[in-house]
Amino acid sequence: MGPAPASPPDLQQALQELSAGRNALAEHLALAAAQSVGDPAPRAWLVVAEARQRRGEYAEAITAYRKYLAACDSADLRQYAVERIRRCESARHGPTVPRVPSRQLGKDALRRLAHVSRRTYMESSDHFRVRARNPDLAKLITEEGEIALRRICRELLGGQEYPLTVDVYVWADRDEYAANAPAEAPEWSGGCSSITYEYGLPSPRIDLTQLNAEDEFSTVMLDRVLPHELCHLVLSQFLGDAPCPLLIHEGLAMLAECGADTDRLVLAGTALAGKGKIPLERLLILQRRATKDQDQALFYAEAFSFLEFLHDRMSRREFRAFLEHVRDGCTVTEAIQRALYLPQDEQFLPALALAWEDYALEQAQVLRALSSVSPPALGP
Amino acid sequence: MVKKALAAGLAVLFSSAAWADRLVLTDGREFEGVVTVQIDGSALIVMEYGTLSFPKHKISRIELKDTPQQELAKRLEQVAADDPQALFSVAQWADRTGLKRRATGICEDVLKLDPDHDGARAALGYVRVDDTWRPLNEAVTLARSKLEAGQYDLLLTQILPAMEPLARSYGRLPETLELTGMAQLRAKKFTAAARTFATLANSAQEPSSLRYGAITAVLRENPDGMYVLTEPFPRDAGLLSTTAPVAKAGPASLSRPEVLAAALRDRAKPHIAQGRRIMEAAQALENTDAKAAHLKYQQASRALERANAVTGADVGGSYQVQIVRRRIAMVQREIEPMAAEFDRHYRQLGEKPVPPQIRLEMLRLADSIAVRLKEILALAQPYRSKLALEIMWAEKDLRMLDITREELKKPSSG
Repeated sequence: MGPAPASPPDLQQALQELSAGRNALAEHLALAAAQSVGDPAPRAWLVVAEARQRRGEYAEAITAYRKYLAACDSADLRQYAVERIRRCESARHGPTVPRVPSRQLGKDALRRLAHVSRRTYMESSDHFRVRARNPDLAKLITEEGEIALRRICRELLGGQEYPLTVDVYVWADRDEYAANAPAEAPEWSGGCSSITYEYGLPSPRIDLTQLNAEDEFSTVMLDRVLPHELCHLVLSQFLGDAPCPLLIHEGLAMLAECGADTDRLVLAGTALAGKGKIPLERLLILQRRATKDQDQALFYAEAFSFLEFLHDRMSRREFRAFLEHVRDGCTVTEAIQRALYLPQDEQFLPALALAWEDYALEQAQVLRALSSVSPPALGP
Repeated sequence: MVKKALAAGLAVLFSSAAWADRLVLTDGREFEGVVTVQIDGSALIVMEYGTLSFPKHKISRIELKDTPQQELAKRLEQVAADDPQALFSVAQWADRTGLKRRATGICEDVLKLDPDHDGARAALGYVRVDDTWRPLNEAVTLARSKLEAGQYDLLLTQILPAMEPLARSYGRLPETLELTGMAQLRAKKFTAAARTFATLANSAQEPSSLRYGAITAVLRENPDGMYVLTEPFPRDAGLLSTTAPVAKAGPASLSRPEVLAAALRDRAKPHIAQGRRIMEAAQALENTDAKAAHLKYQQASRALERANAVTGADVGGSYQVQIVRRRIAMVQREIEPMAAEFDRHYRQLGEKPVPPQIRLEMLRLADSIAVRLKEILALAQPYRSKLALEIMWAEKDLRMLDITREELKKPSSG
């Protein structure tokens, strides 16, 4: 007896099995439909591919997607299949460990980068003009700046262009930084970004500090401060003169930093579980001047946690749409609802706050369990 | 004296001459209609084309026919009171004759004799579901429950076909057809479902027709009943951890309601994009051509309404509120110079005698401002909860204007 003829009912049965999580059976049925001699159903290859992908058989899934593409006459589905192939390729190579620039450097390199020369060296690239008192550092900042910029534009802003050149000044230590950085830079910061306008043209600038308090090369500057400040500049260029909640600006800048700041996530989770939290409705409207000193750390922690939550739960396209709606003047909740094509709902904000708090708490618990660290104290 | 109830079934009289009285005059002329003989012996005859009155001496004779009620009474006398089918025939006759209420009463009598009499049940608006006769309303509710319970075959072979003629005569055919389409869809009869929704799309009014049209298009584009979701649905499920059924990204059957909802959401996206594009164009016109900007905003709002219609949810609502806010701001900008002029005159009131022409000018300005404030209220009204402040301000300004207008009309003011 030959194989059962492939027909739409088989495809529907395959879809039912796929929906029920019986991926092997779904694949078997869909394969029969796709390869049916009399009446092949090319769209069944999509079910075959999906079933294989869900089972972690990425190479085989790619083969099935390609089989489908060979007969695909829909632009939307072609785009879908290509995107799925990209995801399978990415999954095949295992989870990507976030690249932390300072971890690429050996002890010697770190020692060399701590050297402060009398001369100022300048390096430039497509988007950066870096001035530092160390030639290696100027080169390193230029390279890492380009890498960070690509990541910010692609991953956080969903394909944003950055047509400007950033002037980066790396000052030797905190004193030199305090003396030369723009006046608006907070005293406690190790770096800052600013935009000035000459003849109507924006001139973005980042000020950094080469050495830490122990006179060693500041890896924090390289891993965190540089991408953080760069993100502020890219976001400012994206937003134009549209007002943007501080939460978004700072949360995104922290997301841009290399390597997750687990302390911040633990702090946010711990605060949200207790009474010391900044509730979401307040967090959304908080401005820098209104933030008390003791709330600073908590504000940053919660802002990071909230943006990380949104970035995790939304697709890249949705996250980009969310930022576009913020730019268009929407409130954060309205922007989320629009980006996800959700109807307006008065109960959305409380539901969102609850979901985020659950997420943050769970994340903090996992991180605490993994690192076995005690939670950081809240405020002074 | 013969009196006939004029009100009772004039329409019936005119549609059926069989029950017309005949009035014959002494000169030989004859008239057919409903005759009322007056106390003085004159006669009034109501005919299809009008009413005539004749004095007694001109009337040769009056031939009175049975009224429908009299005819009904005769028919009822002729049938056995315990014969449900015969009684039902009389009820049908009464119904055709226009004696609806009597027909209903006779059908009720039929049911006392035979509670399962199909014809009488149907005439009284009952449909048999699960061996129980139910009114159409109840049957529709039960059919919806059965749809959720997955009893598609029962719905499609028995319940819905039985409901259809009844629904047709009660004006609820679209509701029944939609149930049929949904049952066909969930039973994976995609071609039949596409036909049903196409029928609905052609017969229903907007906004329902847009939704039915979108469902038809989805089914015609995916005749195998498979839809590929590019992202999970509903989108807030991942964000808010809701318990609603979630369709994962990937291929899925359109027989699942959440997959159909995802497909409709995808079809609504271009409408929203179009609405946004038109909004941007309108915004660009605000300061140069307010009239064109208003028209563009209306156009954008219609595109967003289409998105709402297709999804059956208020996905375009926040944009529509934004449109109204911008339109209100434009109207407020129109008011500003008029209000400034009005205030300038107002400040002079009480300081020196105001000439009558200034008072007239102020009244004219007040009227113009009031027209625009009412325009703001009309714009904001559909979004009362979102635009409460705008409504409150406009109402307050209107009240103030009314008071000032009354003052201006007094001869002593100023």
